[in-house]
Amino acid sequence: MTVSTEKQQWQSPASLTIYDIKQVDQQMHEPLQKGSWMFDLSALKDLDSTGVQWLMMAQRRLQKRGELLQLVNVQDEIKDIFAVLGVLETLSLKQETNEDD
Amino acid sequence: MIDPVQIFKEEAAEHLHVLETALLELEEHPNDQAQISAAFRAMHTIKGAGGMVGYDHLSYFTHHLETFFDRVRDGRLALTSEKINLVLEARDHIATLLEDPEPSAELMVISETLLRHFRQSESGTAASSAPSQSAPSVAETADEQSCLYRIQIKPHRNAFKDGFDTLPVIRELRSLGPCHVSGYLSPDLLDESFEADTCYLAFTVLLSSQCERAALDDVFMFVQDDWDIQISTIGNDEACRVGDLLVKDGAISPEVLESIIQTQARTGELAQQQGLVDKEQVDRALAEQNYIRQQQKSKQPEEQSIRVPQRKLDSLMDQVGELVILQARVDQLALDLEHEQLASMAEELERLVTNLREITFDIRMLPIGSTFGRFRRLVRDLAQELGKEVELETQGEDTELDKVVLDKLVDPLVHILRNSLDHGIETPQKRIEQGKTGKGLLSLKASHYQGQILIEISDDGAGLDKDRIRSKAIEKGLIREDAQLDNQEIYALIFEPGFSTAAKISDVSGRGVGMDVVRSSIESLQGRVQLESEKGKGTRIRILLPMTLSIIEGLMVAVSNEKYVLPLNLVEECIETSASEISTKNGSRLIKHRNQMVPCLRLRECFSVTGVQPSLEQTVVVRSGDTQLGITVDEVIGNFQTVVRNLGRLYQDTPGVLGATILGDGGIAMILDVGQLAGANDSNKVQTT
Repeated sequence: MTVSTEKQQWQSPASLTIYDIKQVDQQMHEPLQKGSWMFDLSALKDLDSTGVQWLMMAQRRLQKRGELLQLVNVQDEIKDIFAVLGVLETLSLKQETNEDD
Repeated sequence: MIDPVQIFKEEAAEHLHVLETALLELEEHPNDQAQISAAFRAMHTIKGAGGMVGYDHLSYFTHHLETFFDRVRDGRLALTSEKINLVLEARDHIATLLEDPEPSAELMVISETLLRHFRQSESGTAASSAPSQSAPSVAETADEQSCLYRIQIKPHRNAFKDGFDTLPVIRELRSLGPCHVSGYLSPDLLDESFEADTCYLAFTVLLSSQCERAALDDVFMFVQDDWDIQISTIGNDEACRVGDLLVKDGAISPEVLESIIQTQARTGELAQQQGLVDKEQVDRALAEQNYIRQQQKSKQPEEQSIRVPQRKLDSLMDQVGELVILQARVDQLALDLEHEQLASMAEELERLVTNLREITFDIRMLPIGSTFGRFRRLVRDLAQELGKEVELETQGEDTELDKVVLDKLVDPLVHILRNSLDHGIETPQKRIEQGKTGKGLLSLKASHYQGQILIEISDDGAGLDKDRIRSKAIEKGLIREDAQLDNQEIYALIFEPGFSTAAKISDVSGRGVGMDVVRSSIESLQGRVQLESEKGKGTRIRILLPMTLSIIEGLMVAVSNEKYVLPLNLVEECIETSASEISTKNGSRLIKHRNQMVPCLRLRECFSVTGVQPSLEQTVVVRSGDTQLGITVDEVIGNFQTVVRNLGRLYQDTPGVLGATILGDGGIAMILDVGQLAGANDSNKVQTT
């Protein structure tokens, strides 16, 4: 997991499940207080409801400050989970990191 | 009054067809939920309806199959090819049981044997419920309709800590039918109080399913004590306004909604402007609204249909035919009397008769898919019997044909398919040796082609052996040893009576009584059959058929005082020709038409019509299959609704004529068999009479 405050970009680990999410939330709580963010989910392989919930929470935190959270490079398997849980429309997904805002 | 038992038997036969189709699909895709549900419904309906009309044993037997499919549907039982074979056997047994409400002791023993096999195949997992011999309730027998459920899921805050995940639950709900899921965070969640392993997720699920409420409850079996689950149904006529959905979601109270409605503006926008809800909630409610409206729209009552015996439809068609003839007489009378009012009424009558004829035709038309469906079982069973692997591919199932044509088409198609399986497609081992895939492909396609129906049956098997066909034909005395035949002519020999190249006679084919029967059956339907083949690559048989046989749109032509009718769908163009423009080649008359030389025949000569040949004639360019032909006549009269009448035994084999029709003045016009004329013109075989 790497955090880049300059680019406001975060590289997701391979797993965002109940076993990881507490640590991820602690690490990201402060950084997410400033600016808009782009989460690169290209490495993400395992995702459960706690991971989805955390992503939604991160988005809500940013939206409350008038900032944006974008999820990029989302794998099809992960999109499928978003679709099953009915959050695909809620989360802001973008295919490539170099796409225009 | 129609006998309810007869109705039940007809409907049960249809359900058995549905079951068979579903099983054959499931053989390829064992987890296809739609097919599993279709099989379940078929058994459920036969069981219920059978019990109501006194088929108690049948009801008892199908109860077990219903239970079987219920378990498959719930995922408690996996479908294997062994189980599918068993159900197919049971399906055939049900067809036998349908013949008598009180079956013989022997049949009942077969039922018990099959049921024992079912129990054995379920490997110790005995049927979950005891069979009931009583007739089910009316509600149970009614066809299941899908219901739109609204399911509000609020997992317990400790759900994640307790080891539950919402994902499998939602997935299971989705398996019950088309779903719209909205997942969201609890609106009262505050940022500072967020704990990553506490569950703040909630879901609104709109599920369109044929499942009963109990099946939904089963999904929440392990969480129902702790999670807040609200399930309600949404009626088809229930208004679904955003405001109502926001109230149901608990976002606003009914009183607040009412006060907003007073302002007569968009509820969602207003609720958002007033800070009562956020944009996400409004968007979610709008998405739900959209889904519910879509589902409600799709559940509009289906068009009602009634079951009518075929003889009544035949009788209706006969009456329409008589009406068409009468209308032609009225037309003629109006013309003869030069009566303006009568002419106007005749015109109106013609319009009405044309509409009535089209409606009657439409009633008799059936999609060919119903026939194709029967062949899937045939191909499967025969392939197994012959130790071959065959995939049957079908296309154009929606293509419609007159029921009479369709019924008469079944036997020739069965012959062709059996031939393809027996002689065409090789065994897997042989195919692999030849660099092919082990599984052969048998293709059955139907389509519209030049106003007719084209049915193509092709395989990727061994193809026809020209040399063997030729030597067999010489041996049987069908051709001389020095006969010069092209490929088409050699292939056509297999349609000769008594011809067969099969080295051994099998139960399937090879007695040489098949292909000539195929040709005569197709020709009796005024169709044409063509064959193409390539050794080692496969064979393709093309059958061209008219859509209907009883009344056709015709083009009336005249030669001297004789009238003839050409099927209008085959007519391409009418052109003026004079004898001086016509050239000949190899004995055929040719006319120049759109920069091409088209072979041409003069009807006057074909049928030895006496009278003076006009210097300027009319040539009607027609097309039969891939063959273009000019038919030269004295005069083109115009369109004519033609009721096709048989010629009777004495004249039925007249070459070039497929029937006759009665004219408005009581006269007779011959209906020309264009395909036969074209073929005869090719081989110069038209006999003058």
